[in-house]
Amino acid sequence: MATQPLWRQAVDTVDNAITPTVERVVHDETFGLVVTVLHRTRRGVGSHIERASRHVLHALNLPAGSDINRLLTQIAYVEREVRELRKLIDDQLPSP
Amino acid sequence: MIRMPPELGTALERLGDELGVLATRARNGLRYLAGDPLGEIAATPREPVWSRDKVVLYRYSKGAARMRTPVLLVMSLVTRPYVFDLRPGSSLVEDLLDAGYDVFLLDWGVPDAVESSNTLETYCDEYLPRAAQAVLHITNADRLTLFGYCFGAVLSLISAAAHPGFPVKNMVVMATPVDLSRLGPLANMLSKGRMEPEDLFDETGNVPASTMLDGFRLISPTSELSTLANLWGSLADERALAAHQALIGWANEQIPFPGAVFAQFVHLFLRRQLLMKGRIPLADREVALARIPCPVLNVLGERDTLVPPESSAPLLDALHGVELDTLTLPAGHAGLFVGREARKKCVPAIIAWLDQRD
Repeated sequence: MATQPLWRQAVDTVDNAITPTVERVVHDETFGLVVTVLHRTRRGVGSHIERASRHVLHALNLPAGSDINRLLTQIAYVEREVRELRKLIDDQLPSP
Repeated sequence: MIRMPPELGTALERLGDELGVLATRARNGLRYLAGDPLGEIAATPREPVWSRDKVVLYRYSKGAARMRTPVLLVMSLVTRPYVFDLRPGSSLVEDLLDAGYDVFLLDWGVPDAVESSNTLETYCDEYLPRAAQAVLHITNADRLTLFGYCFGAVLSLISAAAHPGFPVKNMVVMATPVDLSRLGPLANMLSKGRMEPEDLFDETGNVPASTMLDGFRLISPTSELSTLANLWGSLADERALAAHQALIGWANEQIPFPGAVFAQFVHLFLRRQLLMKGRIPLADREVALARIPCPVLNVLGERDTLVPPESSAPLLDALHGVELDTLTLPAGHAGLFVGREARKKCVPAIIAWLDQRD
């Protein structure tokens, strides 16, 4: 097998040295807790901002992102219904 | 006239060579950064032969009519299926075609808000059995080989077990996640209930591709370092760079995970571990994986960090009573069928297993 160039050997040495430590940190319970707390905080802050901006936008008679998301959900629901109906019809028709 | 010492001449020659390599690296690096396609991707000719909603069944065509059992490739839900036909010379599709098989690919498409309500039942009771019937109708065969990869293998197993008349002759399941608790820190947080599946949904009701990618990166947090080193190593060689671009491009090109089926995976397979027990609730019935009516080849990658062999190992118990062969290969997640090693060892071993049963 060909010998690796020096730079590659150096990278592999660093990789082998740090990987076990980084993996231990990432798989640790504390890391999981920190990620969970950060995730919840981000969602909480996001929903506060969303509520505040919605009040402002609605006061100006403008749609907010949440209104658009609600529309998106409704359109998706209608599209699913249309799909199901189309499939019902297609399945009744004889195959060509 | 001044004569140059021979050592200086050699040194200058070496310097010239090094500068040449550096110039090649710089040029290729710029092409890579610019996203310039360096080689063909998914080049085997194919045509769509069946579709339902966003799901499309493709048939690969190459040369003469094929008499062997058709093979239906079933992709995972979170990655794009072109990896089966990544590059000319590094393509599972090409290898299967060369071995004389008629190859079909089931492409789930990219889900949006409409697909967010897709469930296990949508895939296992609706799409897969119908796609299988379409394959048989087109080829006039009476049975086919189901070839599932990653979550696609899970869907294939459930679908084949759920339908007693499923026309399957053989199954190949590759990098199959059965013990989902082995799938890294994100799975760990979800299994302990610190996060609910819905916490990961975006406004479309799906788990966004970026979240899936972050979850995978947490499994091997330093893998970026060796990826960058591999990139630097391949910059001087255009073919190696094209291979690197194709594989890394695919690995970074995740697609959203449909929300409802993601929630089912978390509740049924991660928290209640029903996949390990081999008994899966589907619609209004319970499906026993042990009822799969054909031989199964379970292919594992020794170096697979995304779905480690320990995650697939419980398949042995889940498929109790089914004729099950296990093939452990010296490869990573995609390395099972992409790359030089795959071509030399993995794919020939799989084809040999299929040939024996054809």
